[in-house]
Amino acid sequence: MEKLKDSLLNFAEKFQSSRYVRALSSSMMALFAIMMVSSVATLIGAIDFWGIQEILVNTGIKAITNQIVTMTSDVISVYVAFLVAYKLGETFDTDPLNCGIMGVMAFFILTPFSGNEEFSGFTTSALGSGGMFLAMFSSLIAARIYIWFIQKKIVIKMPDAVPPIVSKGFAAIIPGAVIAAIFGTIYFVMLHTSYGSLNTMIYTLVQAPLLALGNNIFACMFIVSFIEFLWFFGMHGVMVVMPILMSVYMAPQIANLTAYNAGEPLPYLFTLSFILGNRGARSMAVSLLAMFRCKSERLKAVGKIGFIPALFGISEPIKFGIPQIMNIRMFLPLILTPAVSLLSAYILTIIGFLPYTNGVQLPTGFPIIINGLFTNGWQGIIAQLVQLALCILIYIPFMAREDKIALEEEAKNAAELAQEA
Amino acid sequence: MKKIILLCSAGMSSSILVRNMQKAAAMSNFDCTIEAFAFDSYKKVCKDADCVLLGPQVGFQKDLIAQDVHCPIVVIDRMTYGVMDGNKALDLAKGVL
Repeated sequence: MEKLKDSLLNFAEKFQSSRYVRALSSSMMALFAIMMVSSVATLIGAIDFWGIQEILVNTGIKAITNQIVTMTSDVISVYVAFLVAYKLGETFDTDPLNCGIMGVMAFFILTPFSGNEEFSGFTTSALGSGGMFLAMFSSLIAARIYIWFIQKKIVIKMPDAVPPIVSKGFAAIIPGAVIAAIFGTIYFVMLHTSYGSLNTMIYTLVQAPLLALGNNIFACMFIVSFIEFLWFFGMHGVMVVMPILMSVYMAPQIANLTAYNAGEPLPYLFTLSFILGNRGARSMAVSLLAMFRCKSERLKAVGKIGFIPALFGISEPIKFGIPQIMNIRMFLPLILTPAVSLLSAYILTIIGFLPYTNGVQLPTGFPIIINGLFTNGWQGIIAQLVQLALCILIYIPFMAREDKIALEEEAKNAAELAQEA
Repeated sequence: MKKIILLCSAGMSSSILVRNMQKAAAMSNFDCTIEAFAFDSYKKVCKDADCVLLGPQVGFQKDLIAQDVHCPIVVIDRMTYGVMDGNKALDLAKGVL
């Protein structure tokens, strides 16, 4: 047990302290800001009752929200290219802004520019969710090359009298030219392959298979259980697996948001918010059981402390307080409840009750249960309540056992105190 | 005036503990500022801190932070964190200040 814990801790530490993994996950966190803007615009534009939709169209508000969604989620890869490179620059303590610019440049150079004499441009399929993988990797590589040049000091040096802001710009000339040449060459070579562009090739060879791999309920159930498995050993599970989650389920999330805004059928069942949002209100379940079914004073107190945080999806007080962490008696419900909850959401979806998630990104700390309304419509609330009921059912016997043990301890402590007195 | 920084994954659960610690500090007239942040921002927010407390769930990142942060770094124990015990967490910080 201790050995397993050590090796897991080791794995998590190694994984998270890799600069590339950290750059990927922190850039995805930063991307949430853009996703949120896109989500709010989508939600406003989609209001469709009491004739509000007509008002939105007539006043031009719909045109505005449409434009906002297009310029956020339809070109999401541009933001990704910048952020990933910027964050990698930060982890290497190398001018993040220049890194970010190199990332965007590399990504654009690889992206085919198409059209005719009258009209030319990028296709949004290349800049939207379909281009995310290319954006991530091309900008990581571009930024890494830039950082290498800076570290080896292969740059044009300016006399000391030149202001830093000017010399910084000059520092980017040599690495910038090299990066442009490398990516330009890749672009040219790809033009002559059957794929036509690196984006199409990466999409076909990497992104599509990964999507296919993650696009089933078992993969999702495994992931949510694994998150709690890590939590059991005291590690923030979501934080550790976020880079994986993001690279597989962010693209479907954005694809759904784009489709939702356009009023088209939603393409993906398994998205980031489907997985993270349908793990069940587990801390709420435990908190309720502790408050109303347990007789132990300690458990009652923990339930009370954890209730309000649990409402906002903050699980730490319940996880550490009961405790569920490193408490083998709670291992089973801990890893079972999110998988069962997810399965129930999946069943509700395939029988046609629960609509696909619309791709709307809610901020962390958004109240539970209500979040279902924004991502799935009113059916989302029902699904969340079903999950809460399932979690309570699963936890009942386990909490009863915890209660019994806590009561025995409390009786023992009271007896000891009485003896001392 | 001491500056105590708490870090957890998103700066949310630790902010609950911060509120309890501030109450404990006010009760004992301990002059300090206590703030919670997301783990990600550690390079910026821990610069002038006198002491950094980590939520147990991000404790595995202690070595990573220690590369850039040179004040004492303490991982809060699970029970203190679970019941959001402001007094104990403040004592933990006082112990290394």
